[in-house]
This record gives sequence, C-alpha cells and structure tokens, in this order.
Amino acid sequence: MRRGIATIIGTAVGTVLLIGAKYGTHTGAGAPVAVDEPAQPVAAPVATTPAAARAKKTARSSSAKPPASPTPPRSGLKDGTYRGSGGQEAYGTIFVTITVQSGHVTNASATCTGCEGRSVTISNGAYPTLRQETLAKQSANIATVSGATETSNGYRASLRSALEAAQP
Amino acid sequence: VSPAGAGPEAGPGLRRVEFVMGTAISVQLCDPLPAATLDRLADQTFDWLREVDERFSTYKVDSEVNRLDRGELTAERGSPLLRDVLDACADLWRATDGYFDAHATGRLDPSGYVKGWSVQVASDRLMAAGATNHWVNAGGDVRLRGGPVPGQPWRIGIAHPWEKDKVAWVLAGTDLAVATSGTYERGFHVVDPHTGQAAAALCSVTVVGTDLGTADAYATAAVAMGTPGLDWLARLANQNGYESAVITEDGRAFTSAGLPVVRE
Repeated sequence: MRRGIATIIGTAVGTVLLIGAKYGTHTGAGAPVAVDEPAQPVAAPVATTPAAARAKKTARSSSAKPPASPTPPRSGLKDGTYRGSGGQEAYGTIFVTITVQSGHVTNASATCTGCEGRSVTISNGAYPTLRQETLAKQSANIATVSGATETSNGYRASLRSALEAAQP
Repeated sequence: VSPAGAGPEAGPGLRRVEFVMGTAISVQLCDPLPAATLDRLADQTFDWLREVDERFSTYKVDSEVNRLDRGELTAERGSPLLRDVLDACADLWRATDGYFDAHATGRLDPSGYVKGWSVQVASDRLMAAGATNHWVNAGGDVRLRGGPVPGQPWRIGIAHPWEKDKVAWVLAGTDLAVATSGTYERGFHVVDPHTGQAAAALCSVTVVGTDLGTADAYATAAVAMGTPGLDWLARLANQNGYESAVITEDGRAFTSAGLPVVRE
C-alpha cells in the first residue's frame, strides 16, 4: 500500500518534468504555492490524488504527439487548479499543482517543503528533461547485457570464488 | 548469471570470455573470416586489455597508475597512454561539473574511464582489422559494431536492477557504446566527490553514445549527482547526443528522447 501511494506521488512528480518541458512554462517552481499551509498527510485528501494520477495519463499520452496536434486526445479532466497531497521523498515533501484548461493539463508546478535547494533542480522546466515511463521486466532475445552488477565488489567476490571452485 | 535469452549461440565467428580488470570480458566476432584470423584478433584484443590492466590497475603494486600515485613517476615521464588517460579524465572532470573525478576516492583511480576507453580502443582496432561485426562487453560496458548477420542490428539488454534474469530495456544498433553505472549491488558505491558521501538516488544509469570511455564517465557522474543527474542527462542528450536510461532507487524509469530502444 505504502509503496503504491509512493508510486502515484512519484509519477506525479515525474509529470512536472514532462509538462514543464512540453509547454516550456516555468511558473516559479522555486516559489512555494502555500508554504504556510501545514503539510497534508499522504493518504488523507483522497480527492486530490486521483487528479494528479489522471494528469499523469494525460501528460504521457500527449507527449507521444506534438503539442500542435490538430486532434488532441480527449483526457476527460475537469478544468481548474488542483494541488496534490504531499509526496514524501527522502529529502522532503513534494506538492504538485496542476492547471487544467479545456480538459488538458496546461501547467504544472511543484513545491517542496524541507528540500532546501534541491526541489528547484528537479521541478523547474527551464530545459528539457528525461521522459518517465514504466519500468519493464523483459525476457528478450538479446546478444549481451549492459549492467553495473559486474563491476561490484560482490560480483568480484563471487567471480573469485567461482574461479577458485573451477580450479582443477 | 546472464539474463535469460542473453546468449543466443553464435553462428559463424568466435566467442571468447576472459577475466581481466577484475571482471569478465566477452568478445563476440561475427565476420566470416578464417578461424585462424578470428583467433588472432581475439588474442590481440585480450593482449591489449591485459596491457591496460598492467598499466592502470590500482590492485597491481607496480602499475603506472600506482607509481604515479606514490610519486615515483611523473605524468611527463609516463607512457603516452597514461598521459592520454589523464588528459581525458581532466576533460571529463570539467564536462561533468567535477562529478566524474578520478580522485574521488582520495587517490588516483581512473578505472571509471579506463575500462570503457580500453574496450573502445579494442573495438576500433577490430574494425581496422576488418572485423566489422562484433561486440566487446567488459563487465557490463558494451561497444558494438555491425550485427549478428548482415543487415541486422545487435540487440543489447539493459539489466533490471532487482530482477537478475530480466532486462529493463532492449536497445538496437549497429554502432553503439553502452555503459551502465549503478548502486544496486551491495558493496559498490559511487561517491559524490563534492560531499564524500555515497550517492544513492539513481540506482542505475545507462549512457549510450559513440565513445565508451566517455559514456562510462558520464554514467558514473550522473550516479554521483543523484536526482539532479536526471536533468543533467537530459541536457547531455540535447547538447552532446549521448542518450540515457535511468532507474531510480524507488523504481521509477526515465529515458531520453533519442535512446535507440526497441518497443515491442
């Protein structure tokens, strides 16, 4: 459960990166929307979280097409401004606010309480960002694998023992 | 412990694995060259990688790197290879805002560049010798050229950090350098040179480009940056054409727009 919630919040934060890049808007992510408000508990305001979750869908589907697409996909979002509940990161609590116009997310910004200089780096859209996607688990027909495992001390130790075991 | 489907048996050509630089290095050659020629090319490849290990290993007491680190040798009196590596490390230190640092551990240790660089040189030499369809994989850093059969690209998996027999992405290409750095194995740490702390937010960073030493250093630097590395990688893709794929410690996945990923 806890992880499920963290995932929703996580993707909402990812949405900020995406939308910021797409619209090139920057609504002052460094300036908190409501710093004087107490941080809301992660699970309580259920009504706000689905909006953020739906926003994620919209952002992802629209990212596959150029912004000027003549027939934008219908998202079914209600116009307005929505503030998500607080998302816990190791370094603070992130709050995402989105704006929906004509059924589409036109702006998103994030604030972070307790982040002290880190939130700006991950939330402003001043330059292009990486796209978030679902982490896949595949069994594919491939020639070889790129990974960090084989440079680890654990790998080396295991390799060493395997080589020792293989000694005649 | 290679992921499922990682090793379709080679048709023509040669496949060889040897243990150099503390890791497994695999070479796959696919050109229809005489067996003796393929053997000689593989021998030359591993001779080169062992020479690099002798010069640059921090584990070998009398390596050039250790003699330089102890002050028994100056860079000026070192080999041209040593000077090339030191110059490249200095360039990469600047290009990564200091996050790729061959002195991050408090001593000279250029191995974050050397492994990728040595494989790049090995692959360049294979190309020059007429072996234009091959890949070399040194502990997860891959340089590939051509394909398994004419007209088909190589397919390379990016390891899933927690599912040992699965891959998170499949890349395809005929001329790629693919380097992955990460924190997902216990005992392996990338140190943020600015704080001296182990970086943890980015569990796996893969950088794809043309030069494997550069890709390796960029991947290590991004891991050291932590979360801000996501934005740095995005700018890198825009400005230098080095594409990337990232998995964060909380299981989020990110890719740059130009990553040569296979969507099936």
